[in-house]
Amino acid sequence: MKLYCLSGHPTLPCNVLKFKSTTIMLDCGLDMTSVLNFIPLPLVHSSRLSTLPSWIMKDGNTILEKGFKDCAGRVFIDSLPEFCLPEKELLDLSTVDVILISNYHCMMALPYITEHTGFTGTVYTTEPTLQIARLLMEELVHFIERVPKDQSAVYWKSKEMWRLLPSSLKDAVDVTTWKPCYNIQDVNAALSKVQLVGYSQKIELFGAVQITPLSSGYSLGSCNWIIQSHYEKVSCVSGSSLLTTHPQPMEQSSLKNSDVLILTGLTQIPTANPDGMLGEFCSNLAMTIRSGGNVLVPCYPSGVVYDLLECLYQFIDSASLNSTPFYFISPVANSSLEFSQIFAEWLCQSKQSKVYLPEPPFPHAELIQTNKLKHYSSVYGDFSNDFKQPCVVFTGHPSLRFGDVVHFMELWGKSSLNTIIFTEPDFSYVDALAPFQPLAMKCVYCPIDTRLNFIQVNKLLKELQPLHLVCPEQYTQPPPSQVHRSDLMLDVQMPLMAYKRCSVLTLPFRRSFERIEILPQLADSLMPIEMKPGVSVATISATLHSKDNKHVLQPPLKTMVPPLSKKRKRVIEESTELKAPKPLLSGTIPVELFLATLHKNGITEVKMEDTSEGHILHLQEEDTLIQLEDDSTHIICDNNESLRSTLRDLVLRFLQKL
Amino acid sequence: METECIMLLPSVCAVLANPELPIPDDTCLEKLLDWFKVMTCKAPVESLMQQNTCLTELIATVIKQKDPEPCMLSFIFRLTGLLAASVDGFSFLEHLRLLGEVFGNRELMQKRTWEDATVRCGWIHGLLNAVQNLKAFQFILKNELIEVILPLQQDCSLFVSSAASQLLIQLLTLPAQQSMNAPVLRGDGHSSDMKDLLQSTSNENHEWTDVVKHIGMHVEETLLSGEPFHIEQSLKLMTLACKRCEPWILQILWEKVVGHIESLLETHPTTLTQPLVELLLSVSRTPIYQEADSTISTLLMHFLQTISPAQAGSLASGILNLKNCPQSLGMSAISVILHPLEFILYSASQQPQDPGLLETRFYEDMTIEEQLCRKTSCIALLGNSLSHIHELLEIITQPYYATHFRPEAILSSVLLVLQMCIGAAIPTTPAGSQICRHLIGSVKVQKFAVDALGSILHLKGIVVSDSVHHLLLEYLRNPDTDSLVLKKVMQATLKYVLCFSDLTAMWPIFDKDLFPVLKKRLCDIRWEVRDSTLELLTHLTLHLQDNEEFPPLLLNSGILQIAMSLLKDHEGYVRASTVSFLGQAIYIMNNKDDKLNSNTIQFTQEGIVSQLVDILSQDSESFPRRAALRVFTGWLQQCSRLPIENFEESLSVVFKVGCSDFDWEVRVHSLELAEVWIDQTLANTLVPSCPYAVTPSTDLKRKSLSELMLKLKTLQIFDILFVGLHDCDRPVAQKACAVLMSLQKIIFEKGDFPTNEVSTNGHEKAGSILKDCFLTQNSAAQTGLINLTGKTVDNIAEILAALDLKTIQNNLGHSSDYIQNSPRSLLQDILAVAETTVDNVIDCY
Repeated sequence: MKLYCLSGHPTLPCNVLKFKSTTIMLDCGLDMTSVLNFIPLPLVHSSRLSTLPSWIMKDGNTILEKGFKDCAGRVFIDSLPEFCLPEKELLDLSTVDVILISNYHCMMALPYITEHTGFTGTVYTTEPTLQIARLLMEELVHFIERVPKDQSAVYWKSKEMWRLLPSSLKDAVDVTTWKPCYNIQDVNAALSKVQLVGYSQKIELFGAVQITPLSSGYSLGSCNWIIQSHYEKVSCVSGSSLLTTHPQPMEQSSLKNSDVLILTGLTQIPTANPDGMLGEFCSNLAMTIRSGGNVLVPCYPSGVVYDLLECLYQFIDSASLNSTPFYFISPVANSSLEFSQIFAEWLCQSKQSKVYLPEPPFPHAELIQTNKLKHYSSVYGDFSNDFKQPCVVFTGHPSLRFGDVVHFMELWGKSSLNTIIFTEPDFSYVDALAPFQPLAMKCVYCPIDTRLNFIQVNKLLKELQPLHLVCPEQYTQPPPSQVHRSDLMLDVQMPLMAYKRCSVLTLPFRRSFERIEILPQLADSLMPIEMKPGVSVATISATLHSKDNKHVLQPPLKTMVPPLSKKRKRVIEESTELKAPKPLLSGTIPVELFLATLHKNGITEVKMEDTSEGHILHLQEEDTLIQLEDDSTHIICDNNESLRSTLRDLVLRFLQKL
Repeated sequence: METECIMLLPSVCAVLANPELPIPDDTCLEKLLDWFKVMTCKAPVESLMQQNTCLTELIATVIKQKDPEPCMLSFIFRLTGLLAASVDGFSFLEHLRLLGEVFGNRELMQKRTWEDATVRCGWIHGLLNAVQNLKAFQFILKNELIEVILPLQQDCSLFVSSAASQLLIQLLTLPAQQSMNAPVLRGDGHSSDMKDLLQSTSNENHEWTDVVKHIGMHVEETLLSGEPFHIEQSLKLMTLACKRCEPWILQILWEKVVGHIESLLETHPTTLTQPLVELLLSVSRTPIYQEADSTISTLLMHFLQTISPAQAGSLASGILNLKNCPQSLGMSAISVILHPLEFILYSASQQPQDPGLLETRFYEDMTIEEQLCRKTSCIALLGNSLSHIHELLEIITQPYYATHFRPEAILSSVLLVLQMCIGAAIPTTPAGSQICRHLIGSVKVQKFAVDALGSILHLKGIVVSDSVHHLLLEYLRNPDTDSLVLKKVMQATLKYVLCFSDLTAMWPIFDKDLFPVLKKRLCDIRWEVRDSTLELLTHLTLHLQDNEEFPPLLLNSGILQIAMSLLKDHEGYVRASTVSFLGQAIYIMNNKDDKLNSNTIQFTQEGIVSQLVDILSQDSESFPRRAALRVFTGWLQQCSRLPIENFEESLSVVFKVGCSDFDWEVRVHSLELAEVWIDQTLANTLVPSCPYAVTPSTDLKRKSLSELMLKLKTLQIFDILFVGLHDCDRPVAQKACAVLMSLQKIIFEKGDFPTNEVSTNGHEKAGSILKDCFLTQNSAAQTGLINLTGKTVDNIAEILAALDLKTIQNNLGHSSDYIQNSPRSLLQDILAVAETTVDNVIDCY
């Protein structure tokens, strides 16, 4: 069993498991942090961005001048943003049989994997994951395609230029693997390969393994996967949460007794407690509004934003923010808000029960009804008519490199009354803000990551007790910025295997057993003998028939009339051998009785010696040794076949034959 | 005893003695006993019993019943005890042979009823009530009741065993209380007359010493029994003896048990640690603990070494509070408390050679490390150390200890603990890392540590470093800080600010760090945090109001704008705190010759008055309304520079609204405001500000008084005072009465207002108006007014003069439930319950 690790990002994993003749890809996350190296794509022409000076190297070299811009000492690629894909060279992706997706954030690289690689398999995920992933992909494509960029830096990726690149790019994962965004056709094609599954549904893969998605409590439709055969079990825990938010709670008990547990997707900000961050978000928001400023919240169109809106629903009244407009701007804003209300079966119990009242499970429906929350597909059109300040705007993209958020950064960045509040944990806020410097607006970092933290995961692993644990190497040491925090790493008793990008791990367990079926008529013919209470044994002669990873014992071939040809003769000889197998022996030889029997048969001079395995009897007169051990008996006598036979028969008297 | 009670008592006794009738509930019986206790103190008990023979009949009847109810029997025991407390009562009952039947009845103790703990408890309490005189003492000895009491001291019911211990102590102390020849303790802790006493031929003395010895033997036996429960009861008895017995008796007892205590210290189970600690500390506070005699000190030191660090905290704390504590013992106790903190300091020390907290360590470092590396004991141990810092600081600033301990080092260790709790400390040892893991997020330790920090900052002359305010700010900023911890941090911040006599260096911190974070906390999602922040701001404003730099800083911080929006907060407590803060803040903004914000009407007193009036008239909760009134009162009290006239128009509305409030505290505050207004107005018009000033002439006084009366009338203050006098809530009426009395005094005594001018029909008028008030109280309560229109100032003066305020005040002095709580009503209640039940029984048939 092998694990190929195609991504080094701990929360955006892409691993391939080879298990019992199947090749299973676990998640295909897309590392978007690469876009932070690119210049933002403004919706309308920005004179500031367009007049940024070109980057000139320290030695005055201007070879890369055209492709790079310098903003407040940081260098940015002046081109359409590109993404860091999972490693494609480590494994032939066309051999992947299935892709199991755990949540919509871990699905964003799917078009890169399924399209143009020869992939012919199936993608398994839940319905909310599919629908929300579609929204995220559509939004991404829309954000990038609606702002065509004529000038593209191209030469910078050539090998000769590597050593000349700014340090931020030199340190990045191999930039040659970076690719521009996929298009909508690729998205549709990739998503058409998805087969929907429900929680706890058991799916057979080629008869070899069974896969089961279990609720992971992180987001709508998010799941952990169990991959098991009759005697082996691999659990894949990716992006799970034990907090009480909107999704169904995490199913833990089924993850117990795994041979291997592959752990990914822990919280990216282990020091930030989501409750505290939510409070921080609200207080900063209220403080800004009361001081007459606007609040900008860069966010994805789904996920934490639902919880933020729910929290604000309660907070708006208590903080007297009733007159403040809340805007949600995204090309998929409407779909996202409406989709969230129709996936009741995937929600936590309290939200599910609301549906029966009937009430919408999320309170943002009421915010929309009362006009407190308004949603728009973009800043164009209706929004510009309705826009009132001070206000709160939720919009994408959290990287601040594309989407409507770029427009608001340009609009509000110059006033210290305004505040930008980062809630998504995927991007460094310092890097995200870099191309907007100098910036007067206040910046607040409240990353809300509800995924498991180290205290929770250490406790969880104590309960689940897997035999082996596989995780990204980042989880085995404290974060580089806080090396003294030994509490921010895994602390487990079981053997742990860490991986990084391009690792190939041989998972340390051997397959010892395989399940075989016996046909009824063959089973009928068995004559079990009880060896000891509760244990019966029977010998069986049969033909092993293997097909589609299923093994069946069938009655042996019948004796045929001996034909004349030589070829047939050989078959008869073999079948004769089959008919008369050597009898199997069982039982133990009581030494005292055996000695007495020897005595009766005239062998009197016997010297006995105890060994760790059993006894050695030395028949002195006959110069013969009998070694009696738990699972074997040896008679050693030179050139005295009759004595050996006699002794053998005496031994056999004490044993049962099967 | 009231005649009515005398008449009711036989029927009540008959009810109580009738086993057919249900027993009144326990509360009634307890109240009845309380009443009898008062009665026995007021009158000779013998005559009481002679006049109310039903009492002794009740006792005799119940005690003879075959199977009395346990609670009734218990009542009878205690009643008998009360009646036997005085010598005459005892003799009377003895004469009737009731005492023997009640307390000396061995048959009763064999019955099943005795198994009920209520009965045993009642018996003990009865005797305890009775043993107030020597006759009772003799009675116990004569009837050998001590043989019954001693086993009860080991009773499985803790109530019984505790009461039995009390009784035994009473037996040990009674003869001394009764002025027998109690020996006097010499300086060496031994009784000079003890030998004389023991050899004395007097019967009483013999009996007493026998009792002492007997009890001593009992304690000795139980200590040897090996039964933890029995040992614990005896330790408790000894602890009680330490607190109440004469030194020479204690000496006898202590000598008997000290050997056993010593061996118990070696082998005791953990359940006995606390009783042993209490006993040792109690005995250390008695005269037998002497510096010269080091036995107890040795025991204390030995015990300190024996018990685990987690259990040693209370003992160490007790030792430190001992008078004449030997210095070596004191040093050890301090070391026990500080050792965990010393270890923490060491575990994160960048330079191991740094001086720590302790010169010598009480425990091996390994012992402390082992405790601190386990989460539960780590938190318990540190909590224990930190909680004792406050009392420790008082001790280590004493001359001897001051040379050995530096408060600054303690401060460093506390800061380090607080840093560990938020993951900001960098441990340098593996044990340090382990401790950090336990402490991160521990709210319990944070609370103790912040309290300790507050105590240290309160210390005079403490040198505080910048790290203190960095840490406080870090806690204030940390989104995960628990709301209670945050409150304590804010209190510590105030203490920190007050440490500085010169705040010049603090202003930039206020501007750049403190105010921005407080602004954010004012918008916190938790109302407790918003409330605590407002409290801190109010305190800062109060303490720093005289600093010229503070008001402009506050004004420019934007805090006031946010606070204004908090006047509409959802939580009533927050609105109340906002009102208090804004009242104070706006006062200091405007109480300057050059008003800071003449352009910003929002932050002037005039600007906020309308908001406060709105709160007073519209807020749904009482706290903000009370706060609004307190602000007005505060302003008037401090109005050295603010002209009252500015507020007169608003004040008439405030009085009107405040006095018709549903909340009695708001009404009281309104009357207080009226009182302050009257005082301030008088101060401005009547009383000369300088003692040497020319006293105004009578005419002038009269003129001023007339003006005052007119103002009072215009502002309708008389109306609210007269209505208040008949308020259904007593505190309101009392306040109104007090204000009116002071007005009476000013107008008719000091102010030479012509009382003779009060017309003869004044009393009638006063009566009729007050009657009006009383009759129309409902409508008056709604409007807050009575109809005084058309009345002249003289009319009102007549009413005021005619009011018998002293009588009203006297009547108001009675508790409002004094009628319901009277013994008569108690007796009636008991009878009523019995009668109702009888009816029910009849109905059932």
